[in-house]
Amino acid sequence: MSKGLKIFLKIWMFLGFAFLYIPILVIIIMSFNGTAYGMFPFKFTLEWYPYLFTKSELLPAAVLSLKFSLTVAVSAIIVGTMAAFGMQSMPERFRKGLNSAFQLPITIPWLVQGVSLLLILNLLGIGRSYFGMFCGNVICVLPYVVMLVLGRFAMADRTPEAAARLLGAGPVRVFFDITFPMIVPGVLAGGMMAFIVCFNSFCIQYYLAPFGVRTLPVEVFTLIKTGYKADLNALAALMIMISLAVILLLNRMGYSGTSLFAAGTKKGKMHHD
Amino acid sequence: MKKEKKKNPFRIGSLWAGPSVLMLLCLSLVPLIMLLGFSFMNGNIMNGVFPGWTLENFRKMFSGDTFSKLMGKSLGIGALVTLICIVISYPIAWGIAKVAKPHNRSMFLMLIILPFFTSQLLLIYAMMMILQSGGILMTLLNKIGIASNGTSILYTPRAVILVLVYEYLPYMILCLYTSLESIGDNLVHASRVLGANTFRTFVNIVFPMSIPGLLSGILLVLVPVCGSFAESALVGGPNGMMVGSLINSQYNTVLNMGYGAALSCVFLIILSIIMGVIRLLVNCAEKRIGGDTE
Amino acid sequence: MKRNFVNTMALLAGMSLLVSGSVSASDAEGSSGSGETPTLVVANWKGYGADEEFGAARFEELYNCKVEFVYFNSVEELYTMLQTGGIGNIDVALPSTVYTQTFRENGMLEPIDTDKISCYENLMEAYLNLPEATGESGEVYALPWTWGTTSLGYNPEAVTGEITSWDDLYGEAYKGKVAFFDDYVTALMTSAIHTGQNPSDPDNLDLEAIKNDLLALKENVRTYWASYDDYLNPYTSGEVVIGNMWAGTATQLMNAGTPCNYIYPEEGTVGYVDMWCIIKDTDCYDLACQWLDFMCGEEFQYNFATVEGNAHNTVNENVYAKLTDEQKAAVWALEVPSKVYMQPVLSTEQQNEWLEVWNEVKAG
Repeated sequence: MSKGLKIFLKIWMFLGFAFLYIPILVIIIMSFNGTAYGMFPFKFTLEWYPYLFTKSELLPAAVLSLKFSLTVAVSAIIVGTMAAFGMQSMPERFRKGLNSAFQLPITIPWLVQGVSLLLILNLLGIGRSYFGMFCGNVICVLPYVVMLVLGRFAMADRTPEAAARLLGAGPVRVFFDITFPMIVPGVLAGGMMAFIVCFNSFCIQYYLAPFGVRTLPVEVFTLIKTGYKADLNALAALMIMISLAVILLLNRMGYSGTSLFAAGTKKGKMHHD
Repeated sequence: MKKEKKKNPFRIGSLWAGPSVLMLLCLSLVPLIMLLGFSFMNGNIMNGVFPGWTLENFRKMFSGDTFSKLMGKSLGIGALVTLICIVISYPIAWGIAKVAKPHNRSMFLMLIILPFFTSQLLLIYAMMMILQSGGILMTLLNKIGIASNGTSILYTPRAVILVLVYEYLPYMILCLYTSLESIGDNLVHASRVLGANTFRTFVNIVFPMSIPGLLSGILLVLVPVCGSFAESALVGGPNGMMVGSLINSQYNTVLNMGYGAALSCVFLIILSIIMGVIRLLVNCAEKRIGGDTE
Repeated sequence: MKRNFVNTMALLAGMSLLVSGSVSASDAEGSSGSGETPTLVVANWKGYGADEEFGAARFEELYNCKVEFVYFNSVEELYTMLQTGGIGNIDVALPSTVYTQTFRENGMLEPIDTDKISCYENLMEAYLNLPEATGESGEVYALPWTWGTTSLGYNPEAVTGEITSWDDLYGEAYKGKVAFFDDYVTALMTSAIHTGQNPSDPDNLDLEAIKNDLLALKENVRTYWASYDDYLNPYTSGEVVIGNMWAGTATQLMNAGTPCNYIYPEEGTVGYVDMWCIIKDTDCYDLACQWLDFMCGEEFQYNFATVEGNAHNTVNENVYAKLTDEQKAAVWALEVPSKVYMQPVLSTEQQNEWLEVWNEVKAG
């Protein structure tokens, strides 16, 4: 690759990351700004952080979102991994068909998915409820889990399993000792995607959340529309710090981003990294 | 000979996929079919009373030009946002996959994911703060002399596009990265050695092999963007209305579920047709240029 | 391989500990509703008087109970809320004139025993016995709480000449500097007033004329506002200098630093009355009556009408008599509007029609 191209790429990448991160930096800086609505002049203050923890409505909403997303992510991991595992035992055509079917909740806009689910729930008399919101979110994140775990299966070497069975290990033992550790990066990646998508999923929660229950995206939307204070910035800054810490921790423990996002098949590559 | 042995694994092992298939049916397929049914409904079901069948919803949708105008605008904005994302993401994804040192790659990827951890609405709000007049961008442009005092691009369709690109860029980068990363260095090297310049290498080698990632990227960006309404409601201004707002107003402002369902169905059908066409076009291009097909 | 597995388990365990920790933390802050003290469930707009210090907190003190709020973002939301499980759970709610009639006709309200409302005598005549709130045989189904207008506000330093009519929003003078309320009922009503029609009589409106009128207005509109915040930023930076707004918005804008004048145009202006009503099948009827009494009573209404920067009009005669001219000016009630058109009750078809017109204007 020519030097000129490399420099061009590096500059482009720098600009791209800058674009992604400038708003985030702005939020963090503004969380220390005493003037309302992030306007100048800039007055340094720490008041928003204690406000966030005492009087603000944002923290309960954030905690609710956190709890909820975790529940959804765990459920999606379980069901999705089971699905991927089951799909290994299916004939090729069936597996492909089912794979495409699983793309459905991603293919249709979440607006339509949320709305159709709401109509059915109304018909059944359940209406807006935690159950409804849970179902809506799970079905929307399930494809991600299945996709990522399947990808891991496709990439993996199946011979250790066969060898273990040959040596006499029962199916349970084979699963826990061999299969599961092999797909763990896929499961984790899927779980992470599931958590993120559910945490951010505004459309579904807007339509299916019970009235009066506000998860974070819905709360932020309401606040932006009706009047917000800078504790929103403080919350965002905190969330970023926490996520950064989690990511660094994961990195330390050995889960590199590359192994999570590695492609299903490697074309033309001589070694694994 | 081995037919009997082959049949067994299918039956037992595949049962594990059962719960997910059930969920898919009940929570996705069935509601969609019922949505189609609802679109013939006259209004809203309240207190268990069914309001009756009608074709009025479809007539209303196609009589005025509100729906077609909004649909066109949403598709236009969707296409523009997707294109901008693709153009911006290719160099970045390639850079992370090939140029960055291997031990840095992980960090870059995590940096891309980090914005996801803050609620996307917070990011929209951050953009609003930057774009507002009196905010950072405008003050800067003012000092340079490009923009006059007291104006901003907020509350225009341009602001909607900017915010949407900002929100969906990470998806495109990640999808492209997944494909680009799997392209072997030796292939590119070989192409260079054989005399192809950058452009030809890209067109003949890189692009065809990145198609799966490109397609998933387009899927993950185009579909949500076309259906979005929060962004246009917050920063779109008077001319920024998209079809999502129209559908949303039926559900939340007048409780006209029948019309809302009809709009959603037609919207979905149009979007699916377009996705199908895109997939076809991209696969055709791939075959023409040459390269591995899936 | 095994190390990966163990690490995964450790991570999951750690995360679940973290979550349960935050769960217990947030649970410790808020108490769970059920206890010996009766709970009143109130449905209201967020930040609209009742959840102030002098509102729910004071009520809890006075009557030794708990008040739980359920917020809605639009009256349609309130309607759906009530229909899908709200009845029996929510005790009192605050619809506006438009929906009070709908609620009453659909049997969603309990008649109010006015003997239990001590301040009933003191409420302004003009807002009592409104047709929407009165039943077949004269029962009272809703009590007025506050009234307001959505009228014309402008920045006196940025406009030239006198502003007296809705016409001032149109034309070349303030092109691209107008803010307009993104609500289909208000928009159509205002336009009806501008085109010389009577918006309170929805059966006889020329919707085509209204649509063309709104499309002409759209040329001048910078933004369709939906909340105070949508106004604040463009207004203080000078992007918007004139538009329709609530009286309270005008006060807040003034307090934010940019001068603002609120007038009632000569053609007339759009008004609304917010009313408290008791929802059917409530389990604490007496407490609900006490809430209504408190909300319309002197103590609360006085605080409501005089709170700094966010005052509202009172419906209590005694309170109005106590207000100084300054305080009346603060809610723009010194000069009484000549013609106030209340939002009419629309049938479902009319609602859909009106929304269709508004969507056409916005999309066009």
